Amino acid sequence: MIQPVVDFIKKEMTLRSWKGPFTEELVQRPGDFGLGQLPDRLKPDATTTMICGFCATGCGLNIHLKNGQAINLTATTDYPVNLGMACPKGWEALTPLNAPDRATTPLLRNTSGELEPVSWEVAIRTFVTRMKGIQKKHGNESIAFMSTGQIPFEEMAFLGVLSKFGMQLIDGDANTRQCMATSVTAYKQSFGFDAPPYTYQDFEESDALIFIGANPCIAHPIMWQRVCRNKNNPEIIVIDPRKTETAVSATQHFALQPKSDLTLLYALANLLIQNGWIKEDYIEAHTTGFEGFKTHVAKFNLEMASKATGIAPDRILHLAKTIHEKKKVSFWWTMGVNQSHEATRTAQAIINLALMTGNIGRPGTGANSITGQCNAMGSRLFSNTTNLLGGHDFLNAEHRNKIAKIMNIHVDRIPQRNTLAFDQILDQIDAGKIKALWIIATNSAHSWIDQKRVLETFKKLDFVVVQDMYHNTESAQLAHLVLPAAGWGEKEGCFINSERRIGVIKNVRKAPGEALADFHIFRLIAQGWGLGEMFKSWTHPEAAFQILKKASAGQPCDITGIEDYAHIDREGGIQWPLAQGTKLESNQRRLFADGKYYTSDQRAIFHYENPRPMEEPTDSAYPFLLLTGRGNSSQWHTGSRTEKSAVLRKLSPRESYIEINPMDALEFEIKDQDWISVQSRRGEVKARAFLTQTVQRGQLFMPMHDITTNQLTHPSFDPYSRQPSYKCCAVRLTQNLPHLRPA
Amino acid sequence: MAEELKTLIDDLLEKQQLLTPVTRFSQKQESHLLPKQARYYQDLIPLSKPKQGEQYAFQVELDLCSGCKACVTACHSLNGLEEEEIWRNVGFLHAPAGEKPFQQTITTACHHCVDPGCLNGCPVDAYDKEEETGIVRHLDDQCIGCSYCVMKCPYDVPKYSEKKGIVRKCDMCHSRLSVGEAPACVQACPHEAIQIIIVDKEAIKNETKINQTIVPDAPLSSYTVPTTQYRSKKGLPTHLLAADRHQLKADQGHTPLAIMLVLTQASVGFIGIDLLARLMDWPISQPWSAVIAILLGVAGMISATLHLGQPLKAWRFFVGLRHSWLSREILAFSLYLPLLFLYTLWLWTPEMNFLPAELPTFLFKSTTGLILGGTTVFIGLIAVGTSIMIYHDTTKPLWKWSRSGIKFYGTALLLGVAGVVTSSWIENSTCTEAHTLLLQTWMAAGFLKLLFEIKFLRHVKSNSWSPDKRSALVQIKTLKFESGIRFFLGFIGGILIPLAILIAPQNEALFWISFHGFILLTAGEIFERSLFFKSVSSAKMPGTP
Repeated sequence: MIQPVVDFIKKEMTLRSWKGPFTEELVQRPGDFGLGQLPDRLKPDATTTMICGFCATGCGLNIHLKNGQAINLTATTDYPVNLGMACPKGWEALTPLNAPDRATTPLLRNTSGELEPVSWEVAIRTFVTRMKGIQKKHGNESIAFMSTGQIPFEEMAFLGVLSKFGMQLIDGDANTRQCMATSVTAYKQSFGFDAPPYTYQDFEESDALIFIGANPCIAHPIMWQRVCRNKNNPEIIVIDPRKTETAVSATQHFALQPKSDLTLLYALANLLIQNGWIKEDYIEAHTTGFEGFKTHVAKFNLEMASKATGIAPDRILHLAKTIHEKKKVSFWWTMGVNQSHEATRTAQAIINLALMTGNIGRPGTGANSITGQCNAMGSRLFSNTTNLLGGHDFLNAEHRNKIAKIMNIHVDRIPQRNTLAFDQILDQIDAGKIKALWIIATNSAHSWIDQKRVLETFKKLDFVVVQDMYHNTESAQLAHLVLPAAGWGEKEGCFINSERRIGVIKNVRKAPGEALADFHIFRLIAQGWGLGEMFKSWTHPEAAFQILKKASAGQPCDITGIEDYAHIDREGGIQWPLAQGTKLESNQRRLFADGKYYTSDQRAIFHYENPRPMEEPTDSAYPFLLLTGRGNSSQWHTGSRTEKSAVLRKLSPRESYIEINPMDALEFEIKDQDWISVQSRRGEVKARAFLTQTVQRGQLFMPMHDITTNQLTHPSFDPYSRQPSYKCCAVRLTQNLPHLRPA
Repeated sequence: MAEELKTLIDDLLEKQQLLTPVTRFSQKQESHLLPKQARYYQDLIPLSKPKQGEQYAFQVELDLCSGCKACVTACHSLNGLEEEEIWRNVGFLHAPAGEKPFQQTITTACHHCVDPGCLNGCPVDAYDKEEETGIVRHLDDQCIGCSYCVMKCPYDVPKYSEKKGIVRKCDMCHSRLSVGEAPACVQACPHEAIQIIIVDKEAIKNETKINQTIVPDAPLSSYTVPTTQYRSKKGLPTHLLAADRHQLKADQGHTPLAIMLVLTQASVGFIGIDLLARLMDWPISQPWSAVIAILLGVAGMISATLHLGQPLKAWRFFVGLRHSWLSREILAFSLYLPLLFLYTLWLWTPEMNFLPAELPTFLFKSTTGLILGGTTVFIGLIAVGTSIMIYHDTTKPLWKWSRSGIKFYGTALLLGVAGVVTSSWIENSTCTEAHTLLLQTWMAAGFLKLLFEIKFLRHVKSNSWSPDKRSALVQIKTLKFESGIRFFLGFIGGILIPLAILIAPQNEALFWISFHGFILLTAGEIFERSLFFKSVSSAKMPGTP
């Protein structure tokens, strides 16, 4: 009786408590599974590996499981992509699954205009009845869909074949239009196939790396890791109007004027030719069109380039010299190039430089497009949107026959024209031709260029279906029907990363409520539409994978040599191609070692064109050029997932901000942290001024993650890739309004 | 058809809940002597333990830090922190106008200081600087949640958790280090920018004399002698500025603390002025004053307790007496209140006719009373002094003793005078000469205190950026509403009402007018104290805009 009281008092009366419940919470003990020490409550009873679901780096994550459910994760130590490292988004990849605003039941807009929970049966029936109704009245071209680069390609493919071959839709685009369409077009035209030639090992093997419109420190931190592991003391050259984090780390930074990149690249080509710094034998043996290119670039002299770019002639010459002198030069580009009004030709100007200097097909070289989304590369091959399944061509009868055979359908079910791009789909909605839109795992109401127009256009639709993890994305708020989707970590399938590496994702979490994997949702729609028979072999993602393997047979992206998911898992991802019967010799494979390209004559083609002025240049009314881009490494696109993590929120700005050069700020009497008003011809937004030298005079920068940014952007597009030119539009600072704050 | 769809829905909903990876994919169950990541980090931690006079320290290669923030999230995940809790952060420095464009990201966690501010401030010794490693550890079960370490640390390291009611912080993964594993941040940095090294404490101390800060625009190192080594082979340009230096975010308000300070100071002022009145033999003093002083003091202490996350553990406050002003404050007020109680009891005794009434009044009826009253007021004034020192000791310019001194003693004087005058009219509504004198004092003190606070705002106009300029800007921009209320209340309660009474000392409503003045004045002081907390400019590591 007395003892417990004494004990209690003794315990409470220690002058210093070294132990207790709070201390215990953090005490670490061996976590096993090669993980080192971990807090007790986070000790796993099993682990499994899968690919991260944010960007196209495609990092391997080691998922810590307890009773089959993921409780934590670390980066996979021996995965050939990320070598034990991950960026903050990867570390926090599980957190967005727990968000309270997950969509847990289908939601249907009722007569009073509110989204109301309904059963799956009602949801599918509504989907089918409304869509079929519209289709019957207005034809196959009255329904379009907008897909994504964020779901496994088995799901993309199911969507693609269900909608086009089954439901007989023709127009279905994906948000990859916003990030990679340019690279696709450029590679296809130049190489004969959409084939990024590199492997990440090239980052480590180059002796010069040239980044054009890319900021890997922020956008692809793990690729930057690979650059930092380069032991050749490489020249790191950054071509970017801003002094980005990457530019600071570079050995040479060219802060060129926005949209002068094409001129610069042609001038570099000209310099290389003039000085005889080219590989004539390679050009001769493996390319076509060089003579025309040579003539074309002849007029791009140093003086002209210097004037256009704002970079001193001797520095441009030095850059050309660097390209010449270094033995292994790799060229890397991303959205700074892809999102432009002349993007395709710019990407090809980079490809041309690699071709003419023989910097391709060898370790540490290449004209390499860094991809954005985790499965943009999967979308490019298997989504059946821009390309016919497996990197085929809708316009090619032979291809249609091949796919019809594999799919076991009549060839007439395959559309004979290409899909409209999303900007054209919007035009068709405005024209009253498209009446229904089905949006899958993307948030166009936030991310598409010239946002106000998008919102107005969406209102004209009779039926909008949004299929997403969250019921409250900007796009879901406009939907008539919301289909609750399971997310990354709650389903199976494959992603393809930037270096063509196929990796597996697994179901390590139970989806909340009645949320279903997109694959399952497509099965339900197929069943409801009366297409159950046609898609009866599409039972689960791995079954679809086997079908897609067949579709890839004989293509540059042939993956018939991959057995199954377990094979991919075992090998630490497998890069395409791997045709049946070939041995997987290395985990770091690059293309074109033999100089043979995928064109009919196996030669790469020089493409070129005169630069065009940007579509909305600055003028006296709108004197500033607004640049946009990734603002920081802890935010992903529209934030529908990253905003769900408290930690990632802490690591990213909570208010709209705009970067402005201090000298411009002085002129407009703007002080650091003042609220200012930014206006374009399309909208007005308010943001805090951040005075920084990293932007040049006359230029402003806003991060793309900010919902307001696209109210300002100008809807101009590359004519070949139809990719929006997000990165330049004319704006003005309406006035100095330090007292202004967003309502 | 309908049936088929229904069956399929049920089937798929069921399938969706199955978790298959463990059974479907073979597990590579190798037993590892070392954790797998060791291959990357084994060169990033020291092979040996620190020797006498040495300790562990973080070393950051700035040229390698790209600002990816993996360190922050890895620390969060591998240490099992709360959802929003982070022990590391990443900010950046950039070049000011006129210089060449430049930016440098800075990853920062606890600097495991040689002379830790958190440890020195902690009233209950919930911090321990490990003898062997020099790691500054926080004893989570010892913590009373007073947040004083949060104010003391110039690097914004200890983080208070509302949910837990305690502070937690980086412990350099001491447990991992003890078995030869690297801290989470070291394990996770893709660029191997963070490592653990052994430093000589004396050398670090001397270093603070040469390099005043560990990175540009960081707090002065001399205060706590931080050990983290930031290195750059390329060299950082001079004059770099923290990206968030112009941010005007208000700090926490600490309402219970603001109330505690104002009420305890009012209590001391009350009993002090009352004592003065007794000494001067003014017809003002009366036993109610002492009772009100007790009520104010007790209310203040209760409010202080509300501020604590773990009030039941606060009895250990005396443990830190040798170094913590907070310990000393608690001690001082713990002496003051019982004394005040005794004194009050004594004051009430003659009312109850326990003692002969013919003792000379100037001696307060007895020397015992004088000694008791005097000691009470003296200890009270010392207690207010310890409050001042608590804030002064944080080295924040807004809180230096000359400023908090005027504010805290000003509050005591102002509320003491106003309170004693008011309570003298509880039973008797006459305005004597002594009343006039005190009313004039009330008005003058009210005016001077407001003037002192308004004068501070002149820093807004200063050409160069300073903590004072920032504080002043926070007051007039970010907190313009609160500041407005503060000056309005101070003007009405501190100037207008005593003036009104002086002009027209109506007999009937004297108490009520004065009482309202006192209440408005007290409210005004609480707002003043809230601004004191919210507008403080704390030195910190560079953040993000």
